[in-house]
Amino acid sequence: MQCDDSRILIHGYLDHELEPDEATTLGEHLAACDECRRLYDRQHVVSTAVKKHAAECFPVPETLAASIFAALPAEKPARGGQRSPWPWFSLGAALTGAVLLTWSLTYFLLVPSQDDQFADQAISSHLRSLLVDHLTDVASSDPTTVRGWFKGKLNFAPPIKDLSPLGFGLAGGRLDYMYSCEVAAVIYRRGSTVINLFIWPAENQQDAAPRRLSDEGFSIVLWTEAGFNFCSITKQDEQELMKFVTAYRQEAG
Amino acid sequence: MKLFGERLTEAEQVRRFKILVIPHLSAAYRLARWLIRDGDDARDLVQEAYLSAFKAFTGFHGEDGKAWILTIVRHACYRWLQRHRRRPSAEAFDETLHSLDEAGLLRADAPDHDPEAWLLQEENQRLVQQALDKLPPEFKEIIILRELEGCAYSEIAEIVAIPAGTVMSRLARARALLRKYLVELR
Repeated sequence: MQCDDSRILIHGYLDHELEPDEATTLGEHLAACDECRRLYDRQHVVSTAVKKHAAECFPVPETLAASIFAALPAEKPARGGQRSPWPWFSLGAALTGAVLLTWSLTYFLLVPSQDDQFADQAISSHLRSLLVDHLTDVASSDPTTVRGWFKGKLNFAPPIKDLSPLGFGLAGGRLDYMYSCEVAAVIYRRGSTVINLFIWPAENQQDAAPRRLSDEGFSIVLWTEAGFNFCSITKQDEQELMKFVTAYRQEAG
Repeated sequence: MKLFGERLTEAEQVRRFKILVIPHLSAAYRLARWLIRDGDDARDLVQEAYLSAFKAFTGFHGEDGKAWILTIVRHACYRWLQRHRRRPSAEAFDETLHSLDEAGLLRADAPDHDPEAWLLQEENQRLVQQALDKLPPEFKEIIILRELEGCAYSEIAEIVAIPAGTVMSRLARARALLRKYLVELR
């Protein structure tokens, strides 16, 4: 192989774009040619430096994601005849004017189409948190810190569990919204998997065993326990999410 | 799940868009920001591009919207560059012209063209950004797409609308010019 050719092929080699036999030939040339090998090393450093120094330059502005979400057509239209469009809202706390986010398992069973709308809310919140580098408002692996952070910000105290012995690291917490109601978002990680766990109060509701909402691209599992509603979501990884849910429910609060 | 060919409702299109296209918003913004440089303009441009992308979305049938949305955003950037800079629209990018000394670029770098490990230190972040910034758009974008967005050569070919065979040689030239600027700016 001539150096003229090698000087171009080096880039394919660096980027893992060469065919196996091309790569082998180039590898042999690099082993024998000091100049070309130096060029390869040099370019390797430069590529690494560009990735390192240029990657974080321009984080997406929050307003951009929000404005795009807002400009997309609305989700399915509200069901006619009800005061509130979503079955999840109980206007029981009319005295305080607060709208509580609740759900009824029986409603779920009767009207499965509500699943899609709920899934949309969960997916939107999950995506937003990943997009704008705004995964956590409080970044900490200590449940006490995260609990303390939520205090005073929400009118309920979400249970924060330490799942590190089971492999799921607590990344932190965040205030988020579903159906315009405040929910606690607790973030867990395992490897490259990010799990958002949304928590909000379940007033006067029975416990409900975990159930999956199917959706292309995302895994979502919901359950109700000990006075709280839980919605866990991650990018398509059904098994991993079920492991997480099992771990979470087994761990004492 | 609906089969291909069945018409999707608008709500289903919105969900599909959120899954296939929205996740690439960061990449789209980064590309626009590097090409047109102004933050506010980049934000407006990307927002408009995303909304027109949604209007055209029924025509998209791929598995992944990354190359598709980046192509749209890139076109918008070049239209913006034509409107806001003195670059005449008739001037096509000439690889050899914009490579300055073509033969020189692809020769072995001069002995002092040796970035070495100092380049990776924190304080050289500014230097790397400046050198990248100096590149003409066609070189800058191919480096951004490869190094920052991790695009495969086939994706780059699609986004930048060049034959797959020319990606590697253009990248070689772009990287050579970047190495040159890195040493000059030090």
